[in-house]
Amino acid sequence: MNARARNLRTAFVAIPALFMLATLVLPALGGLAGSFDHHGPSLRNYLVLTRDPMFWRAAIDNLILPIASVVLELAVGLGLALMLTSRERRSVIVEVAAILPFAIPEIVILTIARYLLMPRGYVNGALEAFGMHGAAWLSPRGSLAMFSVAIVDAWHVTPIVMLMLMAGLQTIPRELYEAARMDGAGRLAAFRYVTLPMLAPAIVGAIVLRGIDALRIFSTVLVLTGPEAVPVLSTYSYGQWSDAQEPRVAMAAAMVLALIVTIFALCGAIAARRWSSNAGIRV
Amino acid sequence: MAALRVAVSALVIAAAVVPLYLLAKQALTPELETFAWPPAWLPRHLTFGNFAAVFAVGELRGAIMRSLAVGVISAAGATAMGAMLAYAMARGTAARSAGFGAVSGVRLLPMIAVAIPAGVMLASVGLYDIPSALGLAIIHCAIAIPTAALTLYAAFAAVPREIEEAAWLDGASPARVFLTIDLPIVRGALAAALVLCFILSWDEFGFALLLQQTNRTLPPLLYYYTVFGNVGPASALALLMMIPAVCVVVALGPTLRTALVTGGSR
Amino acid sequence: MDALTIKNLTRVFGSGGGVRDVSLTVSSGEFLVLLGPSGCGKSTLLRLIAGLDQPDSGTIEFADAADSHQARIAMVFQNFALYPHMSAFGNIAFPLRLGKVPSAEIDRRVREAAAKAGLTVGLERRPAELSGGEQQRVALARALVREPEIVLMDEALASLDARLRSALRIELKNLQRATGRTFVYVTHDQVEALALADRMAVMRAGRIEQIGPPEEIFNRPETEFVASFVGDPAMNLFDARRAGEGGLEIAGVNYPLNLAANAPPSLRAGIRPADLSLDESEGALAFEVAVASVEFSGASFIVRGALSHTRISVCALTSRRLDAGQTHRFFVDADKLHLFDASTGRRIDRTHDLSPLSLPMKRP
Repeated sequence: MNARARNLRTAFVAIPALFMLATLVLPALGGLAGSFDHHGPSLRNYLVLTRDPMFWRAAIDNLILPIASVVLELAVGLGLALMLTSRERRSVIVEVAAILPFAIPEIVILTIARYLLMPRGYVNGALEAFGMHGAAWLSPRGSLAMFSVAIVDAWHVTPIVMLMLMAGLQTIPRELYEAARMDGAGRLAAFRYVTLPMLAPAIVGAIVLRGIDALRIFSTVLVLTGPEAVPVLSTYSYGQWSDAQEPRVAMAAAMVLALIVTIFALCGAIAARRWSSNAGIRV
Repeated sequence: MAALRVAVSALVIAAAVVPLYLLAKQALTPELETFAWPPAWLPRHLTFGNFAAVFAVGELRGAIMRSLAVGVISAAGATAMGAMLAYAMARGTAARSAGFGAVSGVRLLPMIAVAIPAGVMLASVGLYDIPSALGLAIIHCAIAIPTAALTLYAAFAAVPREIEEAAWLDGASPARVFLTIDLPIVRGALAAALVLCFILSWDEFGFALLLQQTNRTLPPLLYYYTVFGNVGPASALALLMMIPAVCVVVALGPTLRTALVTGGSR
Repeated sequence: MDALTIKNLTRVFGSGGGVRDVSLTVSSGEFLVLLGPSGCGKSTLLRLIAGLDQPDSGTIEFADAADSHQARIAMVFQNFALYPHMSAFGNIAFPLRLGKVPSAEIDRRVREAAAKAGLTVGLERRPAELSGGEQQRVALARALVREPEIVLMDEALASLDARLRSALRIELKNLQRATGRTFVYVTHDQVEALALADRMAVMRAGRIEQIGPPEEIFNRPETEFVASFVGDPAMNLFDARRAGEGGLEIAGVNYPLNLAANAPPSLRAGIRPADLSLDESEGALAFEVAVASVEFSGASFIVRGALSHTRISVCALTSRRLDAGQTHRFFVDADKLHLFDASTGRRIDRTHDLSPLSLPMKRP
């Protein structure tokens, strides 16, 4: 019986794994091979990248933007999570409102954001009504574009970070706070010595997951500002494929992005293991 | 402290409600009003003209059908395979590591690195950019499997082993135990997985943009409408696209919390 | 010298429970136990003393401090509440670190407290790596390290297994005697209460029913509730009626006693199982018991049955095994009979008059 059960489990792992392999990994490997191909094995595609200043700009933006986004999401998400969990009664309205931006399709969020931030959009209209000047939020010429992208991205994703942190906060037994209070800890000390260390695994998890997604940012940039204003590696690769008709260079750029994501994920996994054991939880 | 809390709560509610209100206003007012400057915050004339325009265009009807079909097919496939994977991971230690590895690895792949070569592969089997969008459905199915598996993993792990062992002793094969014992017990999680995978497919932008250039699904269509003018129909379309997700949020409410945390990813 | 004075303390919750109009003084250096069933308010009272909750009305006064925050109080929680991300040493040192004590002194005081709590090795280990008993010792050491005036313990031994509980109990009592600090200890286990207390307060529905040394609580329960709650196996309690010239009728049998004339007509009579004996003695009251089951419990046999011709159950302890299904005569000395007013639950002293001026206790 055990052998048959094991066979079933093997099949149950193999079928989805092979499916994902065939439909996702195989193309990616094909792309990897293609990136090293130019009339035969060559590094030409990667050299084209290194000589393109736009690529370097995309690479740098692709590092700055995720950092900004994740920091913003973490700060706001943590604040919201603390606020929502400190009440005795759960405020369902605020919870639903906080989750709503994530439930809405990303493209819809971006559509709304465009109408809010365009030169004759609602945000500028509101600013003018208060006697201030509007700004070029989405313009390729200004430096505000990256700021706008980070804010919109954070707005869409903060609910998830908030939820992850709330889940983490709820694993902290109330008695620990009481013990800390008896030991003489004020609110700040309790936060520093009880909340933060116990929340460390959730925070690390949030940084890793959100970071991986933030590195791969694509539609936000494409729809909101256009790739010229805030180039990132995904849109750069897309541009190489659709406009420049250079699919192999596009693949090279995509592989660079994949490499960055993989390195980050590995570091994240190591960090996650170290931090979870800190809180006494085995991963 | 309480005052701060009230202020922040108000801000959170405003951040969610105000943009949606503005979108709804734009969808329900004639385009001329929307282009006015300074922009009006309250609607002056209400009209359904934008929605009529949306449904008058054949391309849009096609896109809606396509998005629905892709969503349903990929959700079904992903849930089925995700259930298999989740069950194996819940019951076997070797399977758990293998499963986690597969799921994590797949989640790492950037869309752009897969979509371009996948388009080439689909073209070679005649599934690229076809009206039924079957190629896209297959891809969506694959990327949704991790979400389905993670949603179902906890549910399967919670099924007591004793129930399965009793069935084994009664003579059922492992496959039969899975189909007739485990699946009915986790049907709540199955429903949740189906819904999450559908929404994932409905919202997905990147693969849809690259793999269905002419026979489009809704997200890329909305993109073109937004970027190339047509404020009214674009807003109406955006509003329509929101329906599935908002229904789910309102229906499930706070119980959505666990589902989103386990399966939440773009 | 009183370490703690509580006057008319009330804290009521919408969902029930809490304390109602509780007054209590705790002497310095005594081991006070708060005993009662769940929901009786003992934990609420402890938390009010600790300052973790605020009373609706009433006062708590400490001997040398204005309020809970300034008073030197430490608390040991039922689930230990150890910080999982710190080592045992870190846990114990935490209150000192918050108080900005220099590290050399921290080291000395932590090791001292650990030694007092019986913790010899493993100070560098995390709580997850320690056994239940060791975790409890860490929690105790953390409470002691601040050298508090009052140590509060909330069902502190409840999560340990029975054998460990008995062993730690003895250590706890010795520790309290050695350090001379005031301990206030909450438990629902009456065996534990009897063993540990210098004085114990039996609580029910938010009020203190009786407070006094354990022997007094055991031998002279003031109310029917205290009589039935303290003692294991529980005291037998029978309905009884005044009969004739100061006599008492129980289950159809009249017993000649010296009941005062103004004793209430309806009574409850209590006899502890250990006080029922198979040996007849001078002036003892006799009860016919139909034995239903006999259980061996090591030191004695627990005999359960019914008073003859009735369905009133009886429990007795004997030194030899009896046969089920047989009827035996059990004897109890008349002065081992506890009597309570059936309507108020209050104790009635057989030989004293119930003065009309004494206030009946309201049943909550």
